[in-house]
Amino acid sequence: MGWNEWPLVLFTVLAQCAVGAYWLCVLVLFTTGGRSAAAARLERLMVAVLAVQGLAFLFSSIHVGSPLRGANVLLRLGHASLSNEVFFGAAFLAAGGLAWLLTWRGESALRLRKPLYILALALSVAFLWNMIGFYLMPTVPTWDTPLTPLAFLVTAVLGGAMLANLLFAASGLATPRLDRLVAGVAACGLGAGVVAAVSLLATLPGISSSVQSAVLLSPDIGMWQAVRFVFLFVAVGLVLRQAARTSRTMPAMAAALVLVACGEIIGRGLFYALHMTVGLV
Amino acid sequence: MMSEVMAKQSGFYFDSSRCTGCKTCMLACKDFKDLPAEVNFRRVYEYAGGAWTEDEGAWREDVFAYYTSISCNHCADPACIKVCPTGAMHKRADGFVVVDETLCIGCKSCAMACPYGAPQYSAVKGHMTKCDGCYERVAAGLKPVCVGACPLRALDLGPVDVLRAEHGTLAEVAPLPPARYTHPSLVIKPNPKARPVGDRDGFLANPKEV
Repeated sequence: MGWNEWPLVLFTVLAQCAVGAYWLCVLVLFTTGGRSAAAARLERLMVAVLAVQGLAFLFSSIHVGSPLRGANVLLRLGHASLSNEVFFGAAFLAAGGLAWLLTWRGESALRLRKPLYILALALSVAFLWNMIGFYLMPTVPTWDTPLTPLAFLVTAVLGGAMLANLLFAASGLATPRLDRLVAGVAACGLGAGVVAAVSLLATLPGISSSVQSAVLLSPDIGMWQAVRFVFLFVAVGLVLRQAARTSRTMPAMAAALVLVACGEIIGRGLFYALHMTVGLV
Repeated sequence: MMSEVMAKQSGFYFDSSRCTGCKTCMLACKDFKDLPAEVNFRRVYEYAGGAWTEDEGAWREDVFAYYTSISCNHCADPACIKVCPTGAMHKRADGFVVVDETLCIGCKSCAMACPYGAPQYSAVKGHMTKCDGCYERVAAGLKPVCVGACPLRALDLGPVDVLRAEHGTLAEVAPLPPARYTHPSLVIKPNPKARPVGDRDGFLANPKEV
């Protein structure tokens, strides 16, 4: 397991959960007909999504050796994926934060907030896109595959659904229709996650260099994937039950979020453990 | 005149048929650059393999073991520079790929991308470090410390086009990566037992030394 990269594990998993949750919240804000007090409360509660993103950035700063020089990371903006990733991530946080501040101006500022939500949404897509792009290094055969974007998207969809689910309930916006949306999105994420994991396990034996075999990088990968999917299946089961019974309990929703976070942290740990190059490393 | 000479891309020449794996190059560099225990700008990889095979009732061995001494190849298309978010990893006008240690934030992206293991993180300094080709010595007309230290005269550094004219263009043998990934400024004279790039019959015999 790639626990030596734990700050990056937490950074990528938390950031992807935040991005996915933001997508669902904005989708619901724009598609729920009529303005309600619950929608206004959801806008306020979306600060939780930004807090998760902020926490993710804190973990990323633990990864770098000289965080006080962190601003240098932007010097190759437009050229290096990592520069773009940090720029779009920070811009997403800024646009989302500004929209959140404007919620204190009440309904009168709704016309200002709507374009900011769209902007933050676009910035979060660019953020995730560049986060994926960073890992598609031609010299790293275990990362430079379509399974990397798929795995990152699965985390965003599953983690985002679970985090948004909590916010919908806490704001009072949750309805049976929203429960079905959350459960459907989560089930799709889980399905894609199964496909990604099976494909990964199937392709690893074909990746090797003169000094390294991908299957030997994480010998316990099968066991860890099994543990991960127990967590993910239970979590998705909880939101399916919530949709089927149209009854919500906060502890079950919180458990679903924690289970998905733990499962995706395991999955990401495996991802970093699979680092190897086409050469000597 | 001087600037013309300096602008030529330098490359390492490594004679794998001479190298005995003594690692004097590695330690001379470590001493000269005052590197911590976990950092090695030059590393000597021992690639070994082979087995007994039956030939009409007689058993014969085809074992092999040889060395590749690798630092940074100051590539024409460096994987490290592409991923560096600060521009700290840069190619100088004289072709040497060097870390600007005043810019680097220590994100380790270059170490993830380089298939030769050249960029290495210094926990003491909090940023990346790497073989700089001893460019200051080269500019003064000297050879890098590793080249001067080699007791077998298996290492050299010179303008890479001159080295290629003299020794050929081979830049890949097992266990090195295929040269097409980064176009290393490296010229290899292979060991008689050398396996072609991509070989899977051998293994890295000294993983704890690199």
